[in-house]
Amino acid sequence: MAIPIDTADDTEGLRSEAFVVTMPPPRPRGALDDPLWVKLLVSGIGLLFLLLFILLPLLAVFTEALRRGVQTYLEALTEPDALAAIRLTLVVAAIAVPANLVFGVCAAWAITKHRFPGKSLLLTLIDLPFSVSPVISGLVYVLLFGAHGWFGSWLRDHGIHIVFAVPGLVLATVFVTFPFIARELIPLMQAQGRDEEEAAITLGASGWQTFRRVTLPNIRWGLLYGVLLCNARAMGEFGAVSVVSGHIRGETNTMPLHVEILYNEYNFVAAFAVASLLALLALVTLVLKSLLEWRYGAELAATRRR
Amino acid sequence: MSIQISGINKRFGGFTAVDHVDLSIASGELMALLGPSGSGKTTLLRIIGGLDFADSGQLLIDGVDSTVSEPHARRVGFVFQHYALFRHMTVFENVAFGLRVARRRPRPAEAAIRDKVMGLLDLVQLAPLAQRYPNQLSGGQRQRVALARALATEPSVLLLDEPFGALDAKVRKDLRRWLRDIHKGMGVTTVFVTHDQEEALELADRVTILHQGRVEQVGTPAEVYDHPASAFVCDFLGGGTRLDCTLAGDHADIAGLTVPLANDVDGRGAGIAFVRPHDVEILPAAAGAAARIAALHPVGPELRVDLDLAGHRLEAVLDRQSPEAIGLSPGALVGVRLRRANAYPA
Amino acid sequence: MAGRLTILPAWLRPERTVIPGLGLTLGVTVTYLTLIVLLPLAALALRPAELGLGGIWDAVTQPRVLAALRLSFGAALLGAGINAVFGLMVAWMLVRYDFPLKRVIDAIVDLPFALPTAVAGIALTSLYAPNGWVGQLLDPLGIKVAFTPLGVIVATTFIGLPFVVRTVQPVLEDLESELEEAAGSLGANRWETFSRVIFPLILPALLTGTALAFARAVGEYGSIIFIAGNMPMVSEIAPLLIVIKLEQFDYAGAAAIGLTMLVASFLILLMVNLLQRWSRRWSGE
Repeated sequence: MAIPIDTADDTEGLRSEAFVVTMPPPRPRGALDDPLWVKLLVSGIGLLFLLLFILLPLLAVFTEALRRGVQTYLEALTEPDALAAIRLTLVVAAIAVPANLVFGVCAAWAITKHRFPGKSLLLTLIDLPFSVSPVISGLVYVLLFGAHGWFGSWLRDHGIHIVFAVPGLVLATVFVTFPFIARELIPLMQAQGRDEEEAAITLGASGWQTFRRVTLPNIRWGLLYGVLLCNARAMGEFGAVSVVSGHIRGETNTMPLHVEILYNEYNFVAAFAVASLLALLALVTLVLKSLLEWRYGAELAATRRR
Repeated sequence: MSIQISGINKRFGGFTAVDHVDLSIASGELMALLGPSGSGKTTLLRIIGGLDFADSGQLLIDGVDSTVSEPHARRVGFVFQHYALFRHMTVFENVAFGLRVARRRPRPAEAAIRDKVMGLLDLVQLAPLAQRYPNQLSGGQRQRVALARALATEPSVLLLDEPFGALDAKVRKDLRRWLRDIHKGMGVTTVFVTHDQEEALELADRVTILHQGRVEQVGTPAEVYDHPASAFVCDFLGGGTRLDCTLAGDHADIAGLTVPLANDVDGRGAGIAFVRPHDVEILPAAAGAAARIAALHPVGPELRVDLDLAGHRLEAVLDRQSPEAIGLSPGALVGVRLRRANAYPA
Repeated sequence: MAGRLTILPAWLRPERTVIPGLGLTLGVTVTYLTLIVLLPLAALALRPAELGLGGIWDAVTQPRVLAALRLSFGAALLGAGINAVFGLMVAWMLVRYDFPLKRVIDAIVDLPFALPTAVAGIALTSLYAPNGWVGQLLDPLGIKVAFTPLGVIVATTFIGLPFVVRTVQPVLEDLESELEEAAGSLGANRWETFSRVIFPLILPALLTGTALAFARAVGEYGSIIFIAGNMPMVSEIAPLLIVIKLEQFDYAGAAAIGLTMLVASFLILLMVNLLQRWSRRWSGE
């Protein structure tokens, strides 16, 4: 049973909507362009500022790290304490990031796909760790689990070590990276609305099917973006883990803490060598983040406009 | 499948979206829910579809209480206002979705899904575009994909939210006729929401007019147009010029004229009358009540005439080629007779 | 779900929607939030109570603590102010001008977000030390940056920069060129157009970004402690004092300083929220 309809709409639509998704041309500003001297002045000051505060520190890390040559650089990185620090950093991130991933998805699902009272309070609480000093993020766990903390004596009696041990490092890292993924997903899923999920459900999909086949494909790049930022912070966190670590070489030293110890021992080359790995991590994160923004800018737009 | 709605109520916070609505929709009927924005029409549709749940009242679908049942158990197909197509799936996969997630087992085999989807895409004339993604389609095409997707699960009730709202005038007209034909061919009970009275009157078997969450009137397009039950319905359906009047049984006094009433009104005294432009007759200056021509607007084949009748503004419509229209000029005095009016107590 | 929650009063009951999973996801969210964030912060709020109100006051008003708080807040404020001026220029440059490597420069603005603070700390120190690339230029002028409060300001400027740029940039991008054309057609010159039309529209974003940079810098630790020199009463920041108190097992004293800083952060956060509400007053959202 085919019912004839006016097919003019088909070609019309293709011309007007489908094929005009290319980038709009840069809009000419013409008479509204700033005068040349203003352009040069603003660009000059802006670039000098960026050079002084961002580019030079980055260059300094790699220069200092390679000051004594590649051989010394590699030796500093393959020294057992450095390797232990790298391993511990990876372990901590491997626990903290997935934990916050599960939390982020749950929080975003509850907040964006449902209506319930107290939602804006919940949003504020999720943001809380962003506004807390890293040192305080570590401090709170010492207050709970430290030798003189609330649960300190109970933990000692049961032989459980949290502060000055790996669990403390994980907890402090989870705390400081807590909002990252939720903060990426919530605006994104808010902008996407509930229509597609409702459509899937009227078509008979279960909740899990709806999430896996409809929601997840729509948020995958935002999710990756959040994981990327969360991971960078988890591996690079210093203040919070510094408070709970106890600085035991080879045992509770993450890479940033190892940098501090080496630096305070005036072993600058080794300190900058380990620091250069972290700087590399930061650069890779920035490159991947920019690639995501350029390639999937439209899908991330809600996230970037915070 | 028939739908019985009785005493349905729905509030959002302090806002009453649907206020004690009773409505019955017959099996195979094409029903329009018509009203301005905020009248509760979309909420009512979502309650029928199981996307929102009533605070109180009862919903029977084919005699089965469906007030709190899950959407998939109701066997309804829902077409969303902005289509809600899955943007990461092709047209084919969009239409196949409902078959792939079907809860009755065994799920249809791949070949069966293929046949079914291609059949539906033939019906909506999009088979050549099966591998396109939604963002590569025009608005009208997306609308047809959304419809095919809703029909794939063989619903017994089809629900459409502002189905033509986001389309331009020409596409809208074509799709309207086409939906009418599909409905006739499949005989599925269909309810659609619209704020466009012309669309509702042209397309539906019956029209339900909603206002502030309440049903103002239910009837065939001719009934609601010819006998609007309230001032609101009359105004919303293009009632024409609104004038103060004095009610007097089967007629009303408007600006000194005695005008027969099209509707039955209880009571006498002050009232509000609506006069449609087609019911304003322009006569030679000596006949009827004296009125002055304020302005003339030729619009296509019609001539719209703004009249000043004893301080009241009136609008009349004439055929531009008709003998009455030819001699008119702004400022001239003419006679006016009102053939009929709808009037309501003030 | 509706059945389980009917014990709640109507206004507390979640609206029933067809999308499932509210119970599970909200449960996970609230449990996790409580264990990871709320319970530990409760410890911070309650721990200083052992000192009593007078004790808290004494702990916070010790000269060394006051000096540290003054430095943390003062340097954060100055750093945020510097960023407000130069960050606006950077944002303007990135939105309005075309130049080579623009995308790279745009991306690198986020470096202070991504670079671990300890790395930033030792890098800034090596740059601004008297024998460093920048330090040796300033040394003959008698300006010492590293190991002085000036070093703290350098660090707070570094970490605050992206907050200002990234808050102002989208607002500048969204400004319609028609606005400026309208101002121009009404006879305004470029400076008048900027100061009377553009600036008032980006001011809320600029203030928000500056406040965010300030909030971040107040609590900053890693990038500051290397460059500051950490002399008590001179270049010792409040977070470092918390660490020192903890090492002396003075938990309540550490918590008292922590609580003071936390309360200050909340006040700033509240201000940011009000600013954002204020900034939306023209957009009709």
